[in-house]
Amino acid sequence: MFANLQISRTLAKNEWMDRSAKTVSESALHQEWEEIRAAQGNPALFRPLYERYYESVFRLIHRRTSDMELSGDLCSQVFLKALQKINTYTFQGVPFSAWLFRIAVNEVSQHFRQQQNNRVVSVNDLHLHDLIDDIGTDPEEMELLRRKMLGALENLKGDDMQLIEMRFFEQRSFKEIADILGMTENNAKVKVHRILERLKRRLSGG
Amino acid sequence: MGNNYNIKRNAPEPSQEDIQKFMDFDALLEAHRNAETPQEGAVIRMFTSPREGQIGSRMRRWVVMGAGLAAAAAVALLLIVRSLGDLPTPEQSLAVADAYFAQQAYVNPPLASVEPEGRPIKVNAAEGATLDLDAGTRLVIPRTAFQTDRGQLIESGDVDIYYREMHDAVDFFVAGVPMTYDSAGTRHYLQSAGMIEIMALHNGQPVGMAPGKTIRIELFSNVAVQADGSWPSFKVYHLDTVARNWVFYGKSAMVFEAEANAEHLEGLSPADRLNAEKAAVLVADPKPEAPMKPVKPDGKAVSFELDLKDGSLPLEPGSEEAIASLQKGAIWQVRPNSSPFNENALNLEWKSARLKRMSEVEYELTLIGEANELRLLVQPVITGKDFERAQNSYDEAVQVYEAKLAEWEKRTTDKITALESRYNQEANDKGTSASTQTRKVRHIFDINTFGIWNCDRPAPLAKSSFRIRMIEDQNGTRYPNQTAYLSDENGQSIYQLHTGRGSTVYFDQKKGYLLWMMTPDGKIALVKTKAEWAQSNPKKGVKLKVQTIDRAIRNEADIRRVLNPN
Repeated sequence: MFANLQISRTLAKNEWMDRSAKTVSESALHQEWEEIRAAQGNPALFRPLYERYYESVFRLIHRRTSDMELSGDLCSQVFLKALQKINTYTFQGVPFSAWLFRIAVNEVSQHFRQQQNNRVVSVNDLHLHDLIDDIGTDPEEMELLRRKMLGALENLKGDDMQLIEMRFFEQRSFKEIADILGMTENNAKVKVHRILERLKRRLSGG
Repeated sequence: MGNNYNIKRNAPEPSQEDIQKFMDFDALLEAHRNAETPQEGAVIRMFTSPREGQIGSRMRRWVVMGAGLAAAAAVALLLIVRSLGDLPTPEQSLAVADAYFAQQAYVNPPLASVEPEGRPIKVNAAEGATLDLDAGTRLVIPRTAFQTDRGQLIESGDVDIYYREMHDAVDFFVAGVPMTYDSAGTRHYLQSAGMIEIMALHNGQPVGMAPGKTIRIELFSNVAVQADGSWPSFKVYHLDTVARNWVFYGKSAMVFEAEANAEHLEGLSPADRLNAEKAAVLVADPKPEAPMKPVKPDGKAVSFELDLKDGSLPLEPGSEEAIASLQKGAIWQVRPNSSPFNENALNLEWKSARLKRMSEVEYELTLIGEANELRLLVQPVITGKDFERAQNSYDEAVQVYEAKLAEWEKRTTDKITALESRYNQEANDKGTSASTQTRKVRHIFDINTFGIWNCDRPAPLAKSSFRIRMIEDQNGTRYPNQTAYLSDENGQSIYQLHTGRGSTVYFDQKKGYLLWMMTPDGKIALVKTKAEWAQSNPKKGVKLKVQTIDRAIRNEADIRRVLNPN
C-alpha cells in the first residue's frame, strides 16, 4: 500500500476567525491592537475606537433598557470606564468589542440591581420564531407558542437569559458570545443547548 | 409563572441618527480628565535595560480609587489628634500608614541609581534551554515557552531573559519589594530563602509565558537544620502587583546539597534520605504533559497531506506514541530547520514511515522506500473547520490537563507532606538537642508567569512592640512622613513601616534589629533597636534618635558598608 501525498501551498490563505459579519479578521485585530496601544499612551487617541463601537454598544444597552436617555447615560459610563481601564487591557486574541460589550452588560446589570427594577429584554417576533424552531416543539398555533415561550423566558435565570438573548435575539455567534461572557465557545454551545432543552420541557408542560 | 424581566416585544430599534446624537467624544475625554486620576501603583523598574521605560509602563496598575481622599482624611485626623499631646490611637496611626502606602508604588526601589544593570541571557525560543547561572542557580526553560503580548507563540528567534536573585535584606531593600503578606485578615511578614525576578524580551518587546508552560527554578540558600534533623519548609509566592499582595502558589521542593539515591538510603542523614524519597515520588508520578495547541499553516512553507492514521502507509515500530498525539484533520508543514529536499519526492511511492516527536511542535518524519529514505522535520498544522474543531478539543484538553495538574499537585504535595511529617516525627521521637546546623539547600519550584517570585515562609509579627513618637537625626532633621525599613540580624526579611507619629514597630527583644531610612539627600539614617523600648508607654511612644551616615550611596556596596559596617 502506498501513500497518496499531495503538495498544497495554498491551504493557509484567508485565515479569518469567523466569516460572520460580527467578527473580525486577525489583521483587523492586529490593527486594532495598535490603536489600543496608542490609546493606552494617549487617551485622545481613543477616538477611533469610540467612533467604531459607540453604536453597537448603544444598541446592546438599548435592547436591555428600551430607553434612549438611559441608554445614552449608560453608554457614556461604559466608554468612560473603558477609557479609565484601558491600560489594564491586554491582547488575548479577543476583539476589543467583546471587552466593551462585557463592560456594557455589567453596567446594565448594575443599573437594574440598584434600581431594583426588572431589566428589559427586547424580543423580535422573527427571532422568537427562530428560537421556537430551534427547540423543535410540536406544531401549534404560532401566536400561542410565542406567548408560551415568553412566559417560559420570564423564568430564566439572569445568566441563562443573557445567553439566549445574545444567541437568538441579537443573533451573535457562539464565538462572540464566548468572548463577551469570558467562556469557551464550546461551553457557550453546551449551555445554550441545555437551556433550550429546559425551555422545551416547559413549553411541553414538563 | 415568574416575572423576572420586562419583555418588550417588537420594540422599535433606534436609528443610526438617533444614536449619533448621543455621541460626544470630547465630553468623554473631559470627563476622563476630570475624573479622579488613577495613579501608577506598581511600576516595576527592575532592570536597567534599553527597554526600561516600556517595561515600566507595561506594569502600570491602578490603585484603589479612594486612596487620595483616604490619605487626606487620615492626615486631617492626624493633625487633630496631634494637638492633644498623646499619640493617636494605634488604629488612627495605622489608617495614616495605610493611606501613605496606598499612594506609594507597591514595588518601590528607594534609589533608582542603585538598581542593578540587566544583562540579558539569550535563549532560542524554539529549543528552550537549561541555564546554569552563578551561585549554582539553574533555570530550565522548555521549548516554545513564550508568547507575544498578542498571545502568539514564539517559535523561532532568540528571547532575552532578564533574571536576578535577591537573598538578603539589602537585596530586598534595593529592589523595593514589600515583604508583608496579608492572609485571612492577618498580617505576616515573609522570611525569604531566596527571591527571584524574571522577565523576557523578544525583538525588544516584553513577552509572556505560553499557557501550560512552566520554567523550573532551582536556587540555593542556606537553611538552619536542627540537630534532630528537622528544618523549616518553604512555600512559593508570586507578587501580584495589581492586588498588592503576595499570592500563595505552592510548596517548593527542597533538596539538600548532598546528592541522595533513593535506592541506597542506608547510611544517609535523615535530611538526605528524605530528599531521596521526595525525588522518588516525583519520578514515580511525573507531572502531566500539556496538550498540543493547534496551529494554522503559515501559507509560505511547503505543506502536504499524509494521513498516518488510516493505515495506508505502514508505520515503523516506535511511532505509536507520536501518532497518538496527532490531532484529527492535521496536515504536515515542513519546518524551516528541515534540510532542503526535492518537493517531487513527496509524490514518490514509499514503503513505510517512521514518526518521532522531537518537541511539542516538531516531529521527525522519515519516509522509507526500497532503497532510499526522506527525512523531514515537520509540524502538524490544521486548516478551516478542522482548526475550529481542534481548537475546541484543545480547550477541552486544557481543562482536562488543568484538572489533572491540580490533582497531581495535590497528590504529590500530600505525599511529600506525609514524608516530611514522618521524618519530623522520627526526629522529634529521638528528642535530640536543639543546636542547629546550617546546610545548603536547593529550592526547586516551577513558575508559570514572569515577575517576582519568593521562596519563603510567612511568620507572624513579633509580639513585642513600641510606638514611634518622633524620629530625629543628630542634626535635628525629623522624618515624620516616609518609609522606614526594619530588618533583624538574620537578614531574611525586611519590614517596611511608616515613620509617622504613633506608628508601631514590632520586634523580638532577643534579637538585634536595624531600622533605617533614606534622607532627602540620598544618605542613610539608622538606629539599632533597644530591648527596653518594648516597655515604653504606648501613649507617649519612643523618640528615635537616628544617625545619619555621611556617606553618599552610589551602589549596592555602599549600602552594605553602611548597614553592615563590620
